[in-house]
Amino acid sequence: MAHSEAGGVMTVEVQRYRPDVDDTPRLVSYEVPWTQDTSVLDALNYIKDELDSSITFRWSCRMAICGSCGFMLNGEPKLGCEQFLRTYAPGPLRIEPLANHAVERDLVVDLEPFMTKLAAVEPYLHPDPTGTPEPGNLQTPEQMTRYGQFAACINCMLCYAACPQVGLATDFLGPAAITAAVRYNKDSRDFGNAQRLPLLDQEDGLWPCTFVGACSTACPKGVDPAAAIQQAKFAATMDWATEFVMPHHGAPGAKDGGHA
Amino acid sequence: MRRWAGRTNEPLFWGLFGGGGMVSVFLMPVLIVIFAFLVPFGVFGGAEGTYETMHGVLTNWFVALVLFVVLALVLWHAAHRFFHSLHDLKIHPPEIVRVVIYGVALLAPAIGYSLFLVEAATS
Amino acid sequence: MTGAPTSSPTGPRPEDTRPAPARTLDVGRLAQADRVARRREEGTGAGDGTVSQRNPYRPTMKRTWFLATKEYRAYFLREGAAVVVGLFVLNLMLGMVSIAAGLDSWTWWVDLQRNPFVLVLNVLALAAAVLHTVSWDQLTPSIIKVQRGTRFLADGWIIAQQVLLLVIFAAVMVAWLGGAWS
Repeated sequence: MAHSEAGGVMTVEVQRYRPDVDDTPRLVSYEVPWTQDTSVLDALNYIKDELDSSITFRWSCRMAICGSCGFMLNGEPKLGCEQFLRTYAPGPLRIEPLANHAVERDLVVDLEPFMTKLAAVEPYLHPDPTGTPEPGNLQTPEQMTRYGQFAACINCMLCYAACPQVGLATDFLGPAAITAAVRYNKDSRDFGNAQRLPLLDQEDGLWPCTFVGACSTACPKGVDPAAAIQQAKFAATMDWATEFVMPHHGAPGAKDGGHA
Repeated sequence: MRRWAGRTNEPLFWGLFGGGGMVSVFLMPVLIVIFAFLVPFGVFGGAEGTYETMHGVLTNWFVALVLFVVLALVLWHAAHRFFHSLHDLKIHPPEIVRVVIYGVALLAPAIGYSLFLVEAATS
Repeated sequence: MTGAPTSSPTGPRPEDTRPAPARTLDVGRLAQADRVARRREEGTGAGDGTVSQRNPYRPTMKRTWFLATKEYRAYFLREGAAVVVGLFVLNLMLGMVSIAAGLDSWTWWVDLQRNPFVLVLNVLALAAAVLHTVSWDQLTPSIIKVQRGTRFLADGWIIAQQVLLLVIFAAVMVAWLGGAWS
């Protein structure tokens, strides 16, 4: 990067929406001084501290692990703390709330639909119904590898903002919630597959997904939700076929196959 | 088959779609190059030459059945993607349109195979 | 743990003596979501003297959303390509019936492929089929995971397997039509 681009003043356009006054959101421009290490979150905090204290946005950890500061940056879902103004030099940079979400105020979106979907897939270990686990509920590294990648999700909802199918069908269970279900389905200590199947294998479960793949591109933690969803589709298809051939067969999704 | 709220036959639809996509990967580029370009432009001895080579094998009812089933899968794959593209375009047609789209993928191979058997028996 | 027998091999652990948590979903966050949903249904949110001034703005997707990003455009091209390949499948079925009907009708079908209109469709079909093969090859490794210890088989192996199938099928077809077995 050329030395002259290592700092300056950038025009940052922020989408503002005041629920008690406005009918529709509007873009407001701010002039923000920046240097090599100014993150987008720093820019928003500068605006709040120095230019307009009424601007509203969520943030917490500043290190890409809390998942609070997801915004659309020039139309792409990103974590504000993880992106730097230098990437968008010379500007302008447009900051909007996460797409496909109801906007409560400025950059704050309604989290409830996502939280409800996430809780619905029961993303926690269901113990073995036939008895107690071994002391410590041990697991081998190989068993952990099966689901490990999918456990890195921080629930930042960038994948929901990236997914056009979430925008087209708001009831779609969506990338992160399905990935959470797959993460537990693939866990050797979990016995909840049968409980999660009716939620996954239904109209608003897995099937609105058409493998656009945008969720995996957007994920800041490299989780690959698209892979999780396709693997879940494959597993649901196997369960369907098993039930079709053997209607009185035992509970599907038992811990015997190589799939979720 | 257990039923629950919202359960569909989508696993069947998706399974056939995936099968069609999978065979299409290695089948279709080869078939198109050979039958759309190489054979019509005389690389394998034109219509007479290819007829000599293929007629005996392809007119076997079982070979033909396998071929029509495989081609039906590819057609199902196309129908499935076309139907979902309508949703992507925010078009939500009545159920009959869905029946027609997937119906083409079922009926075309069925009619094709029937005609094939009739022609094979009479020629 | 719910329903844990008291005579476990290691003896009862301290946390086992606590009362079992209620195994229902109507707790905490879900109950909160319920309250919010109920308030919305009852219209007891903004403007009725309560503290809440909620009036969320709900954006809608444009019908042309798939033109917005390169990724969406590639996706839509991929989906559309399937339909073009489907047209060639219909053409090929016609060819199957033709060859069963005899040399004359087979000659008619082969000549039909040189018709300019059909030729253009066939060129499009080839492009679509290649696009399908490339995009499918790229996506398959995320569905088919072969685990070896604490690693997964590299994506390249899954792709190589599909390319190998294509090469074998092409070789068999060319050998057959080239007269290798006649």
